[in-house]
Amino acid sequence: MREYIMHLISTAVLTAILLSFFDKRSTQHELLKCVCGIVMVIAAISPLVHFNGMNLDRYIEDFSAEGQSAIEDGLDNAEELLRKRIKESCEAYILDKAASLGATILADVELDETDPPKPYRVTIIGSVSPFVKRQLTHYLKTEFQIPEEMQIWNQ
Amino acid sequence: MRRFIVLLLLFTIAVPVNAAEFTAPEAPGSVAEYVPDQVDNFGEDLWFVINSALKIIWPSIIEAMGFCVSLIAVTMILSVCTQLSAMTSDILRYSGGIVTAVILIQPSKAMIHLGIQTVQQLSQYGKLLIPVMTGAMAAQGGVTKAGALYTATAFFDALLSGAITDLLIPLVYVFLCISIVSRVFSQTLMKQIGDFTKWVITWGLKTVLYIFTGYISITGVVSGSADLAALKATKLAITGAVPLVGGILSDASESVLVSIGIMKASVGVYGVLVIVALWLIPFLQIGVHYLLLKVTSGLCQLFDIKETSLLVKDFADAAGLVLAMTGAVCLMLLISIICFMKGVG
Repeated sequence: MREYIMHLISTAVLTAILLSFFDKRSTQHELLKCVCGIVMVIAAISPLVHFNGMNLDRYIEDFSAEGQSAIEDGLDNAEELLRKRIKESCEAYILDKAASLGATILADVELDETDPPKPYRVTIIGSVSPFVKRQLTHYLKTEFQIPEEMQIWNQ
Repeated sequence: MRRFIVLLLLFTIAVPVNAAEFTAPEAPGSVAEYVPDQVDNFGEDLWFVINSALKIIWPSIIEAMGFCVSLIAVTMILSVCTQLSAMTSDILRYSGGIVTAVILIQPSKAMIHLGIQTVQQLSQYGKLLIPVMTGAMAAQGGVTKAGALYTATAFFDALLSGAITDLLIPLVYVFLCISIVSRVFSQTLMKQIGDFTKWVITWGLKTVLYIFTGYISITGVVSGSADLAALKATKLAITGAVPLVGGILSDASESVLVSIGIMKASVGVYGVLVIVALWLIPFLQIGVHYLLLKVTSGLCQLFDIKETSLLVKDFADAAGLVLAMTGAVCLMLLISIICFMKGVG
């Protein structure tokens, strides 16, 4: 900006000096005044000549990329939150079912990578009677669609 | 028991379990003490910010009143001298104009510097806040709208703050220089160039704001419909699952959406308060400067020294232009945050 203003001022001073050599009422003075006016206009709009319209596209691309990164961060956070809620809810349902059968257990549900995530494996910790185990196995299989081989029972 | 689980889930919504995920960037040091850490009541908190700002600006009011009194005194002396010695009225006029300019230059320079600083602080805070709001909106399902809003806000913020720092503020200096020359030496052509410079600045600010609001209004509607369609598709996929699992997925999705909405609203409200605090103190300082110069200009007219009065008026106009610049950046950020807070659809 400083360079531009200095450039503008120096052009104005030069044209003024040039004009002072001629008589104000002469035709040459009028002609030179017109030329100096054109020179001043060119000096004033010269930064526009260097304006590169393509840079605008690059800026928008940069901002789009930044926005995309913020969106991905947000989606990752939401997915993490959703997985946490689903896991907690599934475990709560399993504990509730075990409690209704008179058993006290701990359940650790693992979710798959689908969207939305679904339970695919469960680890049950606690000693239960064969009847309760059978009932819970059936419950996990029918309600959660977790096959028997994905149900891990630990004492 | 199912009711108990639902209640438990509702409780987890009321207390955002993952509040750390979407948190507003902390208020910069200069305004940290005026913005409450937790936003409980927006009205009360905003009033607290305004009250704090009003207390802070007292010294600048007194300072501004000081140089306004000096200006009135100079004009009064000039008026008396002009009455006493009509022969030297031209020299008196020139010297009066120069003295007035000298008195006004230092505070005006400080005011313009304050304006630049405010624009930069607002822009920097916006750069921290907008990505958080974008992430929260995307997490709520507004992926397309969040992307469009982010790009528009970041682009126009960079454009406006860059234009203010590199073009409009130098133009304000040009306007002041031209004003001094035109008022002291009564140059009509210079006055017209000065008016044109002022028009370029106001026109530039207005145009950027109009394009920005127009763009986000249109993209908001278009991208909002796309996001609603995507959300409906996700809901359909959930209802296709096993009843119990489908119910859990549906409840969890709903609760996640609600809790993200709560987080986004609190981040947005906090952000609005910080932006208002960042803008309000300099706005009041420059605003007081502007109003006092306007009053001084009016009072100077009473002494029949037209040049001085008009020069003071031009400096007041320059303060008005700086006010408009800080206001434009603040308004743009507020519009953007409110659009983010509005949500999907």
